[in-house]
Amino acid sequence: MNFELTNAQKDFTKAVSECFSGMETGGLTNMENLDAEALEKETRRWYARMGEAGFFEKDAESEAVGYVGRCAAMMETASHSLSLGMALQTTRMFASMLEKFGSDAMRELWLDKLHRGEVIAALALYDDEEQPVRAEKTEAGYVLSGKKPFAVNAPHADVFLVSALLDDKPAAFLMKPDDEGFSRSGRIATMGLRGLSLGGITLENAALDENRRFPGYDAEIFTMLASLYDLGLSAAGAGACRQAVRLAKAHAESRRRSGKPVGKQQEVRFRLAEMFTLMQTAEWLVYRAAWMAQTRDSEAWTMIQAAKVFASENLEIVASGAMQIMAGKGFLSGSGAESLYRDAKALGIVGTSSENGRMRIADDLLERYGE
Amino acid sequence: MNFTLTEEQILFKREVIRFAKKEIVPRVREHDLKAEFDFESWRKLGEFGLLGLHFPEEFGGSGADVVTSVLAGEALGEAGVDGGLTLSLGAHTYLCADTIYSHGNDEQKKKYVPKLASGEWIGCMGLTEPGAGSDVASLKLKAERKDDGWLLNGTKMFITNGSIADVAVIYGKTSPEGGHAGISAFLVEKGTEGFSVSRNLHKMGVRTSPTSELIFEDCWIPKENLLGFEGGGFLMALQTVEWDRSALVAPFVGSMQYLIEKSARYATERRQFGRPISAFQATKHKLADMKIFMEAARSLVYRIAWAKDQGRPLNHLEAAVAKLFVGDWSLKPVNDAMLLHGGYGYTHEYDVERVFRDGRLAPIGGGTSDIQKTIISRMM
Repeated sequence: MNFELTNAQKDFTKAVSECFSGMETGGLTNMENLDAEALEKETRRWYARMGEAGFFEKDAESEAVGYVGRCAAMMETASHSLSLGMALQTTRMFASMLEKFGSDAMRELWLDKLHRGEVIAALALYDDEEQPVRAEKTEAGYVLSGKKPFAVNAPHADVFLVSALLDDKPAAFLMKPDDEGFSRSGRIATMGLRGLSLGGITLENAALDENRRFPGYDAEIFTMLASLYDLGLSAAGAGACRQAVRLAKAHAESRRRSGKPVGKQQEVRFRLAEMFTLMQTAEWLVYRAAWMAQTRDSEAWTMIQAAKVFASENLEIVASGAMQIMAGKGFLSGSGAESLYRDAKALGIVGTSSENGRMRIADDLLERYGE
Repeated sequence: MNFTLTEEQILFKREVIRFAKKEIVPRVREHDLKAEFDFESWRKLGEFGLLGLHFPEEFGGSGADVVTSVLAGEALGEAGVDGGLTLSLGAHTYLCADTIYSHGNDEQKKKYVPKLASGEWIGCMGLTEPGAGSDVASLKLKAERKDDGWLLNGTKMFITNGSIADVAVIYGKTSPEGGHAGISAFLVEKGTEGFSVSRNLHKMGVRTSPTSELIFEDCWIPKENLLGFEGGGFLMALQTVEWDRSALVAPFVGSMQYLIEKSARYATERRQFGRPISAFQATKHKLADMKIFMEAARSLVYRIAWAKDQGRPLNHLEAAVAKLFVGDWSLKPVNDAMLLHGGYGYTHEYDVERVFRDGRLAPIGGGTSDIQKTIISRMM
């Protein structure tokens, strides 16, 4: 057992952390006020910076970093901006899919650029109820039709992984915005995560060559992809808790009432203590889940769901605590606490929802111990 | 990072569960209902080596590391051993025997530790008083020098194993004005004149573990019974915190696994409205919440144990986080387990209500949750 990050994991996290050096807590809140064009520009600027720090580095080259190290870096990123963390995570997941399951041609075309942070990618997995994306085999390749209503990065992504049913079996395709029959929406207005570009795509008889299909993609890989995405989200949740704790603590120390800092009030102190406890607990649960995924433990997928439910639900509690401690100041737009409060709601919904996560955990328990 | 247990640790934990299910669990209900200490189980715990696991072999132990000691506690809870017996074990091994082992001189160690490790003797630790608990500096038990020894006068309250202990580590004031530096620790054996047990307290849970009030009336002990150095008691008490936050709370984590397995079985067997209740979402969500709590708590407890194994000074912040989380956040999932069992869960037959009662001590014993919040808010 070892509860310390390895040197490789520390170096990786430090490099990512240095991208934010000099920034105040919640300093990226302004991203949510940018228009679509400005947000894309700002996002690309961050991609380039994180690319230099090695954030998108190939898994094969960063084995020592592993999922644990990646989670540590995600916590650091999300402690500054949950939106940015999720945008980066999506592209990193795309790169990982390409590395593991893409064709040689796909890799040659995209991987270097992805690793350098020059490309924004989207994962279009969530189907429209009425028009799920279906693929048909043709002589020249495939034709895809259907809708994906929500995909992170979709409005300004350069490349997409689009899941589809092919002969009623899961398949995945690489698509580009200029593909014939491909269209995408602008940014969808959302309650939170406004520094993230969320949109949908529509495919109308989009014709693709044979080499656009991810050759190794199947139902098992889809489950793995979804689980690893959930792991990233759980790390993002734990990281965002850090932001809430930092904001609330700073306010409690500086805000004076009745001649003393509000942080001297027992009610405030105890609330901070509870927030801190939830933050640390979320972090360790995420790390253990990451380790179990890294070592292919038989309970890994259940642990990831446990981490996702815990981190996302407690982020809501911690963000709410930060706003309460910051009182009127926290309620103001731009305070950091206000946007975090809105952002927090998203984590229990995106990826596997908390309700579905609990069902998966319970199904696993019933299978192991039910008679 | 690496969270994998060694093969040896995994096998050991499995063996403790097997032993406990066979040798101890069959007597748990009887003793819990009678609120009686189970001497037979105690003897078996000693024979198996669980009462002094971490001591070197020369002192009757196995030289186990702290993580392994934590796993033993977790395994007992997981097997279904009651919180009373595991609490008695914790007070005996970690709060009494370990304090003697860590701070005693050679003679004291040789005299007491092997007997405690084997279970031949039972130990307890007396810190809390009717008017002093977490506020250690306000201890009132007076220890005065007299006739080449010490004269103890005062009362100790809520002392686990108090009425059955053969030896007690007792904290008292050797310098009333000295604050923390005026606290010293003493060894007091059963039968010492002036030392008596006034009563055992009736409790909601952990009923097999006697909780006593101890009286010291002109209780004279020889100077050799001073543990460590005069004025060193506060630091000794502080060092027991590491055990309080790891090995002593580990059985609570194990108990949650016990409830998970029990609840999953019950939910599969119990049918309502034509299907097993495990088919209902509300049941599944309760099961999931138990698992989420258990894994989260386990992460924190292992961390404290691992840090102690590295020989690091106690990080009070991390320790308080573990204690607060296990204490406060365990209440809902334990309650869920009882709800899931419905009326049966409320009866003694299903053992769930016993875990419910035992678990209620978690946010109280060893420093209440409010104390932990005070520590965390001060140090974060």
